[in-house]
Amino acid sequence: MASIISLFAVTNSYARNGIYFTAEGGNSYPSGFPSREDTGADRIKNDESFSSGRISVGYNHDVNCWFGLGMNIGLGHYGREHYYFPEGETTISNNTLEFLGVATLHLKYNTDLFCRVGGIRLTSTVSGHDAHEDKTQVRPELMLGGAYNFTPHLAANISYLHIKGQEIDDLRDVGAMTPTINGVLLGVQYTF
Amino acid sequence: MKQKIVRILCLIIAIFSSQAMAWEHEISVGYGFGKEIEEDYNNHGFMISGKFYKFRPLDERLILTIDGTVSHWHASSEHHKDLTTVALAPNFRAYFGDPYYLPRMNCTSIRPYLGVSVGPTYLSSQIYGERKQGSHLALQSTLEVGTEWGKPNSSIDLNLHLAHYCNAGLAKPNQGINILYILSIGYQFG
Repeated sequence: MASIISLFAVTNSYARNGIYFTAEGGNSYPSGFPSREDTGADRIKNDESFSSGRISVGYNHDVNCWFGLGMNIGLGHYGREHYYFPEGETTISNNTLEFLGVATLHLKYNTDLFCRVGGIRLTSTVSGHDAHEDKTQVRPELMLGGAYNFTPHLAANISYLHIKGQEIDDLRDVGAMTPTINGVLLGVQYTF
Repeated sequence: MKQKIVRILCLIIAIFSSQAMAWEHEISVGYGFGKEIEEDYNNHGFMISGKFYKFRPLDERLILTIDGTVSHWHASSEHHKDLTTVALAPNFRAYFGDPYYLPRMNCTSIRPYLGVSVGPTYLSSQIYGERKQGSHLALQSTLEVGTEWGKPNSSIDLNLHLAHYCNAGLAKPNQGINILYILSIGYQFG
């Protein structure tokens, strides 16, 4: 209990109000896509590691020395799934436009914990064999993470993200239905 | 010593009087254009907006104003070509730097910012171009980037923003209307 309280005893002296930009990259793990047996594909492959990325702009307003609230708008790409058929290859890629509210907890040792939650526009694009028109759905997203502030302007962060989706039984339903996506991202943040 | 005290007092007075001299209102006009998303027609039109009330700054870089907007849009679609909107919305404006640093000296300064607003709007028509809304009452959301240029109580505001009209699922159908590029110029006073 004493160690928890001590985290707040000296708060992050680098906490500040301001506009910030982030660039993040990492791995994402979509689930809920049709299985190899359901589609008749020879094999399925997910992109190699570090295939996901996100850039964003946001604003942090410190309500007090421990707690900040803000907003984050981002563009994300969360990997690709490949289905290999005798007739050709079908690729599904997941791209987002994100509108998230952010709550930040300033701790000592120049560290922050943050939670980003909100709605996103998720477009699952199907290309190649069996390609069809892109469709965009609105889905909820949650990100939990932490940041270390090297200077008042520059920080490194790590976050876990979860985008709620559905179970998809047929490749033709991709777009109208979207997968669940989990991911881990590493990034940098610059605050003006 | 006396001169030093007088100079410090003058600086304090200048800081507070400059804050009081910062602009309180703005009126702007803008021209919007751009292709409707996932459609094959273009939108264009005019927007007039004003900042009627400015709250005390939320922090050293963030302000909140109440904005009123009237706009008229024209689509190059075959039918339902015209739309007039009237909106009232809170607008958050975040500055990249301290917007009052140079204005304390009553100097001309450039103050770049990002802004966002969401608020109720009245649509003159429930069908515009190929997009349908379930109600005349919708939400106008804007994202903007721009800069203020001038002295604290008299400056020009140049910005580029995007406007999105939808009802956030409160009525069906909810087919969003987007004006992708709105260039506007405004005058800040007060």
